Amino acid sequence: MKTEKNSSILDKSKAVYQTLTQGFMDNIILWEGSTRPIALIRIGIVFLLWARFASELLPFNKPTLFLVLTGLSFFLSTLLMLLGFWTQFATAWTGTNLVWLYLVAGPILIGGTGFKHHHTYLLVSITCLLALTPCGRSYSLDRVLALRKAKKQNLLLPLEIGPLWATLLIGLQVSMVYFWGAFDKTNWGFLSGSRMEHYYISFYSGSDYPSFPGFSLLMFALAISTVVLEYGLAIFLWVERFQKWLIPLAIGFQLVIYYTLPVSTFSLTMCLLFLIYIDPDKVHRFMDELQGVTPKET
Amino acid sequence: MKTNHRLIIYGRIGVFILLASFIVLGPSAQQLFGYKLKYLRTWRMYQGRGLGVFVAEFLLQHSNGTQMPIDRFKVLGYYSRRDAPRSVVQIENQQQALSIARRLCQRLGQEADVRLYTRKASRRGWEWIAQGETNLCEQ
Repeated sequence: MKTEKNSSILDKSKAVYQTLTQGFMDNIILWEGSTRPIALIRIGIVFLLWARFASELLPFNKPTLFLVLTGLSFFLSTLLMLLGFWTQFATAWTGTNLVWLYLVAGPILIGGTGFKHHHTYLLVSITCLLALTPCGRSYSLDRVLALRKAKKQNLLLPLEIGPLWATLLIGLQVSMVYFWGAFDKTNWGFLSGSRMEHYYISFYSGSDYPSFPGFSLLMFALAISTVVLEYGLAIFLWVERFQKWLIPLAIGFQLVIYYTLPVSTFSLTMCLLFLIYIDPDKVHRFMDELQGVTPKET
Repeated sequence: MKTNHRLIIYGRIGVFILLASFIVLGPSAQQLFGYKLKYLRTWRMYQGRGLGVFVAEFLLQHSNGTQMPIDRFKVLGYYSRRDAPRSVVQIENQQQALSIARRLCQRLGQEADVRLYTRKASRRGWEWIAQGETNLCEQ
């Protein structure tokens, strides 16, 4: 009797294990879909990289061989990445440049801790993860060349589809920014609204406590809603039925931060990366719609 | 077309698990367990911003115990906050606040009862330094 019960538990465990591994393989490792969202992110990231790093890598800042070579390598790799020529190689090259800038060259070029900020790490991390995706299969010179080759050889036109397992890592990175960010704020100093008051006073009012009524209450409400929203975004951005209102809310949240605090490229990078949560095929259809292409032509 | 190549599939599984663990658990080393490791990033945005911010409020106490805020810029003869020098606008410590309080007493007369409330920003919230215990014009 006991042995029968044990074997039934074992069978159930095996079934659960098989379902989980099958789900992991089908939905993550072997998952394929449109490469358009990842291509849009590739293009957006290049502009953000230029906005953040370009001015510090111009040769006249410190005309040394070290700076000139670092700058040249950065500009060449990002240009190729933007154009989408040898895209995956160019993205990996850009990622290598960024790791070099983040870990080694940053302090030499700009002094202090160099580029070791949250917003720069996010750019480094996302670019490295992008190199693991087929981000050159849409909106790229690589795509144009592949189409021409197929037409010339009378082959079927290549589809804008590829393995997207690494895009989940990008989504995971964004979720962890929110989760650990919220975790860091889960203490009385922040939740009471005091830390929000500190930010406001240090940026806007010098050493005077703001006299407008309800300031303290407003800061308290902002603190609580920030933490709740960040925990919520970390989890529910993955749930499709919440995305319709959660993504606009998240964009609004990031834009408020961008407007009120000096966050450099951080908020805009996050806004761009929300694309990763949307079903790639939906993005594909939307882009078709935007360009006036009927599904037959794709 | 989905790949059937075993090496590619195992490679993907390995890289995915490794990077996912790094992304998810990396920040926990410092944020949860307190170990500061050079290559593990934390997500503590604005953690140090605003710390040490000093807030000073000057109040005039009437004989019946009621208090009203003093506009230090007007009392010290400046047209507005923008007109005042940085040392009056941005008070950074208790000494500076006491020095301004003394100047306010001189302007308001020694019979005035000026009280000072000061606090400093810390991670735990506000740390009160003075809470108007004494009349600064009597000192």
